[in-house]
Amino acid sequence: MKNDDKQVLLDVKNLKKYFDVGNKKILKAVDDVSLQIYKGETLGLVGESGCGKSTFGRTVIHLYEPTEGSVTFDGLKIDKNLDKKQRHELCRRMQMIFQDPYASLNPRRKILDIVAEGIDAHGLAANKKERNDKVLELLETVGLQAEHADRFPHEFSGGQRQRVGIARALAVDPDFIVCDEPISALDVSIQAQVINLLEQLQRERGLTYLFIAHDLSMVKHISDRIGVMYLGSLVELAESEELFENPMHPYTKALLSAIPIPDPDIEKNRQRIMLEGTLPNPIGLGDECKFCSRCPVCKDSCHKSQPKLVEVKPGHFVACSQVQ
Amino acid sequence: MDKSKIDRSMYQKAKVEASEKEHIAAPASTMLADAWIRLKKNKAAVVALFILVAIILLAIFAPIFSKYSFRDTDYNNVYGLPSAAHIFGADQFGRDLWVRTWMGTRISLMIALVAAILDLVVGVLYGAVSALFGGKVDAVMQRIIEVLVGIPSLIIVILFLMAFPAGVGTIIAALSITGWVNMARLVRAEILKLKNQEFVLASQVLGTSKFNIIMKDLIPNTVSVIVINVMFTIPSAIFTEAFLSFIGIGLAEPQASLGVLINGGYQVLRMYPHVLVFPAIVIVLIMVCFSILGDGLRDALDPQMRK
Amino acid sequence: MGKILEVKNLTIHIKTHKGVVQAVRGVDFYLNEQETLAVVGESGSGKSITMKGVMGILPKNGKVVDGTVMFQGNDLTKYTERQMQQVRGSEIAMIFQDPMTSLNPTMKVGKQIEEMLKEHCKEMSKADRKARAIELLSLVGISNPEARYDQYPHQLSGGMRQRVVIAIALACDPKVLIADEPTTALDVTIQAQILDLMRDLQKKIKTSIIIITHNLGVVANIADRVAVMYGGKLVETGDVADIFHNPCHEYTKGLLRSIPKAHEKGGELQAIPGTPPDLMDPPVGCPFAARCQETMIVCQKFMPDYTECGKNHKSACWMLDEMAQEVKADEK
Repeated sequence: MKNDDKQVLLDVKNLKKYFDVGNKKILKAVDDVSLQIYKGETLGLVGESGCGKSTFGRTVIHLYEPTEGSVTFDGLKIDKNLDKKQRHELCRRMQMIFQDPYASLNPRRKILDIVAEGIDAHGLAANKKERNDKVLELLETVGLQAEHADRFPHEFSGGQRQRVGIARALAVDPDFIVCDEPISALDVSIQAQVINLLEQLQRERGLTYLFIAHDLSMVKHISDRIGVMYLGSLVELAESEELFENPMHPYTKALLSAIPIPDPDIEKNRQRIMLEGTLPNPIGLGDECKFCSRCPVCKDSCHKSQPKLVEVKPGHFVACSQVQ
Repeated sequence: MDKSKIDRSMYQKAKVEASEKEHIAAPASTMLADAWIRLKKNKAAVVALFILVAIILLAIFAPIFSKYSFRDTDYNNVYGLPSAAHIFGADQFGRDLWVRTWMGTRISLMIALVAAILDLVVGVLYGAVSALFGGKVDAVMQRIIEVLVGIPSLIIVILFLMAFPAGVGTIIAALSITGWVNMARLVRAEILKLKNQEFVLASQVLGTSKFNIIMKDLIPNTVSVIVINVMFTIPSAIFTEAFLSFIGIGLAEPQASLGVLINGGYQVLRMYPHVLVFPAIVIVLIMVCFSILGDGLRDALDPQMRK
Repeated sequence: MGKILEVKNLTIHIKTHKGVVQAVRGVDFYLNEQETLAVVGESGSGKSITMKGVMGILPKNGKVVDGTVMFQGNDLTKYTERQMQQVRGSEIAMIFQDPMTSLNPTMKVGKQIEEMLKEHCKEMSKADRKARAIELLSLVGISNPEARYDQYPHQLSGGMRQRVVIAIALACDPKVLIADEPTTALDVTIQAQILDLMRDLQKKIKTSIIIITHNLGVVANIADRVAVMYGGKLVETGDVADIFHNPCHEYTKGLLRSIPKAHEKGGELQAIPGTPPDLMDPPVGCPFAARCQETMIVCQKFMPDYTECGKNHKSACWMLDEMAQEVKADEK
């Protein structure tokens, strides 16, 4: 695949999102991340909890105002200069699927009204009948039936709720969907249903996904390219095959070797790269490479500055001074 | 099970209806219907509800269907004991206590209800605005609440009653002037919690207007907190009103409220206890029943219990 | 190797305001000494409730209505609450999914371990208890245990907390350790650490482990034997290699097909359509019949018996019945 003949849908430049946590301390949840997402592709974003991958997703979809940096969607720079109409249209074109199927649906509304929310907000249906027909069609798309429309969220299982969440996002016919850990709360057999559904929708509607997760095997399955985040920074970005076959950053290597493989023969004789210790406190980190405290190949020079993301091979970016 | 019935033909492939794969066994129900079912299981709450309904019905209809009115005097029957003609007996002017008790209950309940509704409106609006705007608006509004909480409410209420002419309206105003603070705090806390829930974020992402987010996402999900708080506001308002009337700065004769009646009975307690007993029983029943019902509702509506 | 724990026909009902949920419907399994048994299944399949029934810590509205739990020759279901308290912690210990909620936030972690010792080993002196607590902390791989002894749970990371939880569970050298999704709340790199720790510990202190999980990678990593639950029933049990390489039950097969192979790329995942059965109104036949690819009429009407598929390997599926195989052969 050549990236040249692909159209950039989302261009994120030097995005920073800092949170003021009191006592004049600042949490750098997303710290200078730049990447591009092409039309029709799935970009996977992985990392441990607290690495800022969800914050990144929410900032991209302008749920949070970025502290610095810019997000450009389909040639349109998202900032304060946008008028109300443009913002509203952006809401329609960028959607999100949430992690917790129990918290992401309003418990007091019927499935019908939940799915129709986007249709109502953007006036996509001429009358009530058209609106309801649209909802039933969407429910069918995600494998639910008309009889489910009049029920309330608490009567559904986790997988069914997640599909309702997908139907809700699809209702406004978006181009780009941020999937924020959509499968991590689901059972294995249900995860596959949701992943298949997402892939099928991508084929049929040409959707572009930003797929945030911590389950690497599922991310590999669905993603064209994968970015690895550590403490707010993007440490490696490559096509998914390349990343799994030829990981370069020591953190990526450790992460990959930690995935348990569902095969007892392989699993019982595997050598793992064990990381020492746990994630350091993300508040008040110094100028050194953030991975130093756990890195098996850390040198003196690593303590001096934070490495920048560099293209070491075509399409393969790494932020590690030992690799460059 | 009877395995002898199994024969070869049963090993044919079966058709599985698509609907069976996504079958939901429980009948469709709303959260309110669920809460009602759960409330019905709570015996104490059901009994409390029955007693309250009975008291409210009596308060509305007993004075209408009685041949006496609450101010008809009968000097031949001063401090008359309970009898067929006067079920609860009569007071120092020979007025029928049955009618006066229910009349008093009616007024007490009305004062409490109106005060609770005022609390509700002011408290919900104040709390919601404070939580939704956040930042400086929230900070200023919370400081105001803190100042109000800092002054003992009884002092405000008494000063208020001394400044304005006595009457039902004044008492309601006096009760409401500090009563909404609690509601405002509860609603603010609840909305702050809901604001970061994923379903609210989802509405934001979908471009739903702020007004619709408030009306469809936030308010309906605070209903249980509001209902429960109202259930505890009503008895405390009744009690405050009775207390004010009892110390003589509430309603005045010949108007009857439970506090006024108890005040009258208290003065002749040793000789004619029946004058005190009946209004006292009614006020105790109202207080206890509202508390039990409030507890029952809290258990029934508690979102923690449903997952 | 003898059987240390044997559960027969365990049946547990849970009362809700809408009706009775038949959460566990006649489950048989056993645990050998020093082995690791993994219980896998969807959420709501009854795997957690089964273990809570074994431990006697069912929620208030849950009740064991039938079955026996034989532990060292005694039936635990007949025990009084007081007797169970003696067993819990000292003989059978349990660790839960979320390490944050299973620790007391206001108590130093060292003291929490000592509490457990105080409860079950009364003859220990105060100094002995402290020494033992520090020994346990270093046993579960916590560096600088003397310093950690005086810390509170919020000062530790998630992985550390789970180590402390394990240390508390192991305080009295239990014969059986039941771990309910011990790694689900943790990150992959930490999960690998904890799994390694559990394997090491088992070798060192010779305990038997039951691990409840839905992550098949974890199963492959740690288990000797596997029990697969579906719809409140045990549908298949066998050695871990048999389950992964030669699954007999259609649900197990489907489950293995639905996970992406980390070392292979592409293709659509073969998901299992549908949703697990609602145990308020469980199906009369096989619980998996509604989602199975091979459903036959008999599956919908009768619950299959267990068929031996190999050594230590049995499964309840009508496809294994002789008649089903004959009919299938005829069709070809």
